[in-house]
Amino acid sequence: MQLTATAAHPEQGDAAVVTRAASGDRNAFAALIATRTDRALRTARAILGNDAEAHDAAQEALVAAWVNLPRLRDPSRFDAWLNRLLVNECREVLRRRKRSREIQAEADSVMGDFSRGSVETASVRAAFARITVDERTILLLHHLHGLPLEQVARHLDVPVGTAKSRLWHARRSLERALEAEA
Amino acid sequence: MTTNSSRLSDDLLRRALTELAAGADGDMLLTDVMRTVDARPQVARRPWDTRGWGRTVVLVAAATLLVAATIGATVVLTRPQPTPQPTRTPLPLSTEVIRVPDFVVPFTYRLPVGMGGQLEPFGSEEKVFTIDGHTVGSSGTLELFPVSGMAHACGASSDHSLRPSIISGVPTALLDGLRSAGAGIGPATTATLGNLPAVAADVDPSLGRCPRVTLHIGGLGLSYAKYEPALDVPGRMVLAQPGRTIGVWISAPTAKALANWLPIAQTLIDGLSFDSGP
Repeated sequence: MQLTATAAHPEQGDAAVVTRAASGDRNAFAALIATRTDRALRTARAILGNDAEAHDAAQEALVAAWVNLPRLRDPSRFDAWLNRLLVNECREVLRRRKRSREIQAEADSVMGDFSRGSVETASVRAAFARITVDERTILLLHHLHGLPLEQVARHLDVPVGTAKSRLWHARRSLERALEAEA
Repeated sequence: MTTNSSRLSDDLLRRALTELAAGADGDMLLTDVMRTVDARPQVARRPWDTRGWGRTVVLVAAATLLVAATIGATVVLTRPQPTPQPTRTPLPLSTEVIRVPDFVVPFTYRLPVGMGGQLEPFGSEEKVFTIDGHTVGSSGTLELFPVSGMAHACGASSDHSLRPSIISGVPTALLDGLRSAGAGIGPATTATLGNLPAVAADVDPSLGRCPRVTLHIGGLGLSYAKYEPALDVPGRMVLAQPGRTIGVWISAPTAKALANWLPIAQTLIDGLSFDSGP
């Protein structure tokens, strides 16, 4: 009953573990997500700018993955599927936050905190909060998690060329937001 | 994508994103997720779901089914009448006594004659012992475990379903608690668990309002892979109190398989002898 760590490259060679987890094997699921929780949480934290909301969103996404895993079409696309679940949860948090803001104008405590960090990066962090969730996601995959374009494409379930194009546009959006900040 | 602009270098972007993502505790998230997973059943895959098979595989499968149906019909129509299988009768106990000193209550047991394997321990602290009937052609299982007095059931809200409900550690009250939690528990009857007096009840999940109630067993040192007997298949629960309450869950995937397995499991139960028993 020991949890087995997945390979050094968790995105590869996990299809068998996904299949086992999809058939109800909790150990397999634990092994599957053990190498992914950190990335999921960091992604959510960077998109939402709030620790508690990031934890909730990542937890909801991972639990949704467990519940719906038997209906995953292709085990080799687990990472793309999980990424989609996570980003959707983040979107839902942002929608709730927007509604909350409309109801209670002073609800600063539940807003994102993109101010945490050094002075040197402050304008970039503020600009990051102004671009879309999809743009934030692709920038995080490539520049925070260090995934090469091929893996970014796999996480987004798009061709490599599309990933490259979206990454370029996301970078341009961030630069424009940065100029607006200035 | 390694482009740099005068204002936004890759390095500056990476540092900004790292600061934005800082403070995340993945270990705590993993713990919370697995605790939730324990209480959340998966959706069933649709039987007709052929996603991922590919068009060729689906066509081949359909053709194979058609051929198999044709052959099957031919065989059924031409074969002689089958010989009725005798009903399984209880097996005698072997004379070999196996001692288990590291259960919460040390015990010995004997296996039914012809049954291979042994009670397999799970956990590093308070252990759960299991055995299945594959060596005697059965798909049933038997699980022996310490009772924590808690269970996961179908919660009224997702928040409440995350944590186990406290039921009771006392045998009869535990059965009542499981019934209240929605498990399909039949009436409690007096029974024996080896050399101990016990109470027992038949379990039929189709009669309960919660299709999957699981018994929470704490303190096993199993990390995220908690062992939780699940009352989501037909079975029989036997509970006794040799100092601390212990339970045996005898189960099988179907009622027919359980009927086949119960006499063997009962023989195994009869071969149990707990140290603190009378």
